Amino acid sequence: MSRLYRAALLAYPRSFRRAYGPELIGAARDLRRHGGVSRTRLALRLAFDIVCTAPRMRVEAAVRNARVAGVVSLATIAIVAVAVGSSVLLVLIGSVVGLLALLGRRHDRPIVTNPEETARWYRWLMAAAVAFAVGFLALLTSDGDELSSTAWTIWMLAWGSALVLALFALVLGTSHAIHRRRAGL
Amino acid sequence: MAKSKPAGSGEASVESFLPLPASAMHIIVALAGGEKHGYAIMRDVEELSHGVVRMGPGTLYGSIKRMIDQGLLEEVDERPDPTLDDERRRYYRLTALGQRVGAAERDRLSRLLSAAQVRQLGLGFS
Repeated sequence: MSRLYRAALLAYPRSFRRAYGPELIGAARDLRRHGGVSRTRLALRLAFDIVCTAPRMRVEAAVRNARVAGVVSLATIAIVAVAVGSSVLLVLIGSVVGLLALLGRRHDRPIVTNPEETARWYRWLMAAAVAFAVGFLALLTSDGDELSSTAWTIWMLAWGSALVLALFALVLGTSHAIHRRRAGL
Repeated sequence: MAKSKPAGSGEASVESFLPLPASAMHIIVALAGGEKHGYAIMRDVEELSHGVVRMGPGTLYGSIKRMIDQGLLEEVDERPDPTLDDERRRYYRLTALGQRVGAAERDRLSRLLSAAQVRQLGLGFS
């Protein structure tokens, strides 16, 4: 009974289990010893209790994690901007020069010149969507506020990949549109 | 749903907690008699409600966690008397804000009950 309940507590976020796990187990034990509740009734009561409370705590933890993620992202951007300000400036200058060069191209010349490749631009977008969904699932299942956890790592990698893949899709899609225009379609 | 407010942030913040969730009000009433550990709160809530409200451990400690975060409860560092009870238990008590919020909720419910009596709620269905 105790082992089963201990295992069922995995439904709760890790931070809650760490803070109140022994208390939850102690209260269940007290209910069994002093509450005059039969083993079956107690098992049903505890199962119902977990079903009613764990999902809400998971959602609350996910919302809290999303807030933490936002703050951490902003803090990271700020630290990078301050710490490597000069490098960022150089990158910005390079980007502006590159952008100007890109804008200077003739409008009827696609960035990617292989039409077969650009026709499959939507695959990159789908891959980006999948990566975004994986990151979202990781965010939902991330347990507690520990940024070093596996779920957080998956979330950061997945959303980072989703961003890059979406950019690829944008470039290929733009090129494909130019190809189509040139072909008169 | 009660909003998370820092403890002792004035009368306006007391109003922002109302109406309290039923589980929170039950816990406040249970702790109005003094500090208690989790199981004692569960037992007290069941007795106060004549067996109608039976909190499970997850409901109880979920509410306790939220109420501590909101500044309504606090954990007691010292044990009342370790020889009388299991000293591994954690005891909780109301904060000053928790007492004010409890009193405000009591007044709110009291006004609601008065209105129900004035309008003779339920008498037409006896």
